[in-house]
Amino acid sequence: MSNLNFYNNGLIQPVIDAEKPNSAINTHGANILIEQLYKFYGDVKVLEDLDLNIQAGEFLAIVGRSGCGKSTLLRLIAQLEKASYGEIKFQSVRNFREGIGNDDIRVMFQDPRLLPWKNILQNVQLGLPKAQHPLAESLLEKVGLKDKATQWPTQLSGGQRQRAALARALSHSPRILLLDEPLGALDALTRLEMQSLIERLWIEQGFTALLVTHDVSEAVQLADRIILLDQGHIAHNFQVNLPRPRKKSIAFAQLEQQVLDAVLAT
Amino acid sequence: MSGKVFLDDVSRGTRHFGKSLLPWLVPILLLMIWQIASSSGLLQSRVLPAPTAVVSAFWHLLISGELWHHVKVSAGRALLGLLVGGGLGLVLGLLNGSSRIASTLLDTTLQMIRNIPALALIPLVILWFGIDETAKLFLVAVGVFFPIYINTYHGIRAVDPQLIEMGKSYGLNRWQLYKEIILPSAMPSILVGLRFALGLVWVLLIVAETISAQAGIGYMTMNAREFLQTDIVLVGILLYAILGKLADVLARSLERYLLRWHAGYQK
Repeated sequence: MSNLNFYNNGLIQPVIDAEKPNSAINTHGANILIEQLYKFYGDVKVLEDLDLNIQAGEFLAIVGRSGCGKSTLLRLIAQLEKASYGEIKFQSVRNFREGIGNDDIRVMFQDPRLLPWKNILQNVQLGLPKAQHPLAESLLEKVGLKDKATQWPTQLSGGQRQRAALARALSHSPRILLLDEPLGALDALTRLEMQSLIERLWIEQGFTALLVTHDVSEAVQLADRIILLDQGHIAHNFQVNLPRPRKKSIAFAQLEQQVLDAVLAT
Repeated sequence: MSGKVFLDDVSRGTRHFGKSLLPWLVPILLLMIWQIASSSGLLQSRVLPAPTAVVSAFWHLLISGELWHHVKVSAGRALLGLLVGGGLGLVLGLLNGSSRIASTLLDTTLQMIRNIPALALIPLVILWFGIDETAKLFLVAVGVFFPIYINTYHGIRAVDPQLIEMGKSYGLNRWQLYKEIILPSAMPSILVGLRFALGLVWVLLIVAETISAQAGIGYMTMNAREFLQTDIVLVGILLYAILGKLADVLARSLERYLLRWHAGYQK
């Protein structure tokens, strides 16, 4: 963690930790360093003086009531919007000099946002150079949609569409995957399947994952750490030390209750 | 079991046959009445020649190659006018739909011009271009410009901003964004414009070709009128109908191909 402790030097430079290789050094993911982040919409303050470090390869869940700023935080990290003040820095772990480009960050939205005029395979290939097109096919196979490759998005079910969106998000092997309540519109069973799919691909590919959700159980199921956002501040920080794959245990239920109580108290 | 299936198939077959035949029943009846009225002398051939006379006039024109010549000239005018007017409408629609500055600058003016019927320009057009080919082309082009312009403009404006946001965040550059998202998204609307334009093209052509043309279906009909050849006049009218229908069929199949992703076009 010491290489993330960047508050000591006023100007934020990526700090190399030469002597001690971080446990996350093998991950493909990237660190996200957020410092004094503010976001206003007109006079409305959505995020206020937010500091947050997300470690490479970490699975972080952000929970909170609607309007707490969690989606805004995700959109700022996704560079879909600009911060009013403060900075978000990205840091590759393998090589700190290596920049994080647009292709390294991918968002999965609440609705799949597939292009209806492209078939499923073409959707997953969106923005991929020709040479990497076979990669899209293997990703479709991983999300279990190999036989749907030539179908139009309108011919798929909601869960299948969201799986296609997941394959598309992973097609550039992103270092950071941002999930903006992607399972919110799915039925309970499909949601469970999607959760284990996301977990499996996260372990396999080692990206940094950030999940915005209103579902506390989903957060406990997937995240290494849960933060609770309240009025643009981080109100709580829960570490989830449960073995994976997670089954509903007493410890699971207790943590879920604890987080839920905290959310309700905001 | 299989017998019932077979019977079902047969009845479905006859029903299908009946269904595809039914719309033609009334036209066939009308034709028969027309023929009987003509041959009995009830209907003078100066007013309306018999269907058989129209068919034979058609046949003679076809054999002499005259028909083909006129159709070629008319279709050429329609196509060129569509290409010039429609192309300009498409380009300006794309431009004004995508750029706020361009649309503030141009849209009001274009909407003003739109309210002038293209045919009201005929006196001016004759003064500007005389009575040669350019005048006809201009009329057709002006007429088809607006349906394509307006539908393209609205198609581009109606693109789902969420898809654009997705495209941007998935690293598409401006050109890719246009090609992969904006243009296909506006395509249904653009094609509606095209079909409107195709409907208009023939109307404009009929009028344009009556302004002292040297060839074309309009010229053929006007010429026949001078000599009271009502059968040829009718051939001309029928030709317009056939060409109009043909253009619509082409536009529809283009639509079916380009919008095959659309739920409305899937079986």
